[in-house]
Amino acid sequence: MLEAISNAILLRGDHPQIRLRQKNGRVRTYTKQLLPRNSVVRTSQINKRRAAARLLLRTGGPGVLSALRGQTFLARGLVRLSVAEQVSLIAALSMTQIGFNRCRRAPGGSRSGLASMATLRSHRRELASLPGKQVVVTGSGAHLVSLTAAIQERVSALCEADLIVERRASDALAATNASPSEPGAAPAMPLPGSPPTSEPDVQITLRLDKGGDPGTVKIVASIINQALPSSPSSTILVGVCPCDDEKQEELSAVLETHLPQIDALMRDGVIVHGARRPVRLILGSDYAARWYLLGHQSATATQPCLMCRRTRWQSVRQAALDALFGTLQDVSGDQHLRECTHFADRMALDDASRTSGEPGAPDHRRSVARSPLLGIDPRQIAPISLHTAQGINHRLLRLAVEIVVVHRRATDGVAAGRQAGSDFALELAALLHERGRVRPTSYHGGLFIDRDFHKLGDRRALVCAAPVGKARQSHVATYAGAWRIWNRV
Amino acid sequence: MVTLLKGSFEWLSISPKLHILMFHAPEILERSDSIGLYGEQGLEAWHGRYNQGAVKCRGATELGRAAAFMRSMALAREAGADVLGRYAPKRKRAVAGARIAKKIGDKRRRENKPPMPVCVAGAVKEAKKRTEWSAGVSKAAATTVSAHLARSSGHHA
Repeated sequence: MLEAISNAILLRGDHPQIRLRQKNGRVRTYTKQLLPRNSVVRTSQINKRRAAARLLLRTGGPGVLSALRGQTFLARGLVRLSVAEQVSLIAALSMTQIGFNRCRRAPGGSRSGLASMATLRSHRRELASLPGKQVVVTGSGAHLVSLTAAIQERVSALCEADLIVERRASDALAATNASPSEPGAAPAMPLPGSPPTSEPDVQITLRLDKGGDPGTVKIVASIINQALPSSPSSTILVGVCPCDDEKQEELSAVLETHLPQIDALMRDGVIVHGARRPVRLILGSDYAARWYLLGHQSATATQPCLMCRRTRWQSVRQAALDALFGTLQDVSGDQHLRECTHFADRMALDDASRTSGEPGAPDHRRSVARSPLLGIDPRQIAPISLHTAQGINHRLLRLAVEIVVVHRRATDGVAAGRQAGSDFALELAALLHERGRVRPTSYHGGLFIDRDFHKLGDRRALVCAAPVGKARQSHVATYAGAWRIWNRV
Repeated sequence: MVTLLKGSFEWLSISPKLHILMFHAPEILERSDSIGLYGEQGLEAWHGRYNQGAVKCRGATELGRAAAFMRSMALAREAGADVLGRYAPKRKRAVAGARIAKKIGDKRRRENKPPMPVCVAGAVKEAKKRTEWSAGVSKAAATTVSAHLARSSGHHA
């Protein structure tokens, strides 16, 4: 009997039933039934099952129902995107509506749950007419018409999805203003970008940077009170301005559209869950853009730091400033955090106004050469962590070459030191390329960016071992220690 | 780290960026509990997105394409990765170390992978880039050391 059953299954044929006569004369009929073994199967198995089902449908045998029951669905609980989300998806993927319509027709047209072209067009018009999505073209570039509306729109979307994250900044400024530590200090005054600490605020960063090919200055706003504020999909592109350089004159034209909006945002705040909240503005641009925004000279100025008043180098010409504020090169640790904060407070009180610091005026100081475009509390200037980390990586690599140069210069003279440095740099580059699998970019001064930047920290053993035998032992040991600490940072 | 470096390498100058990291970043970290939240990766990513997206936008001039790109991106905010991510099923995180190749014969190891074909033009280009990089770095290093020694000898004189 078993042989008969196996023959019926394995041998080719189109017999939906197997009839077997037993020894006692009774006839038993077995009906073929296709039953799924696994609920989740791979593509090849799905194809086999579908082929079997098609065969059964064609023959119309009794196993049809069973085969349909065993049909495998690729996804359970299909998500229905709203029409606005479909419009948005088309825009995000730079897809044409005709292309989208083809995609819609494949899974069954109107039965697919995707909107028709007419519906998409009307919703697109409706969405594009919202104030937060309108774009205006000026002489400087393309800008959002209303930055405040765009931010409010995003905040409302986050509130609806319950994705607002409370981030309370422990603000020392308000406390300093309320009880000035110095006798004769300036009285409490509201500072731009600094809401009172008594109520929760919404932190918004404004960033400018020039980049891309062709070069354009991009202005991006981001709401910090969300899970991933630095993700591009969480940020708002406020303006794109094709320009050759991010000098102050050009930045002034670029920001002309947005400065009144920023003022309005600071004045009116944003509505979160039906309640109005103040906005804390944080400046997060790259170094060059910050200097131009705040009217500062540059990194080579006497006082290059935007957050304190230290001078760059000790010099006879600015001995009074050096004595008063110290220099960047002073790392003795005498000026601790509170002292830096004090400088920042003073600067905030003195220079936060957009009209102060006119060139040639008596209050012209801190290497501020022009009137700042944006008045902001200097303590709300975010450190440029990525650029700083990339710069420090590069500086540490250069330091390896320097210790080799110093060693050979001391033993064999200037020319030999220079030649040794050149040879070692080439050797280091080859080592990083072949064994470390990291390579510098040909732009940005040869920085290591993206994956190479992250991998460089893991390959520090290679870098630390490279100058062994070519530099002073104490230098090599210190160098390795510095890399170890930097990797922890 | 800076104190350690400055103590041993007297020619090392503290750049404004390093100064910010050393003196002001801790202050911001203390106040806001994070520095990474204020990172500039989001802004840098827009450059790449613009490079890819603007060429697909209609416009006779660069400004026209920029405006079209801005309009698209303003609409695209409704279905960003964060919005669509809410619909997607959440995958469980892998157990720590589960994806690390432990066996010697594991095909995920680089040495067990078939070698990539070597492109001669690419290799030449890489070598050229390495030479340029090393020339730039060694020149800057020699200049820094020379300037420091000149300054210190001037002080002594």
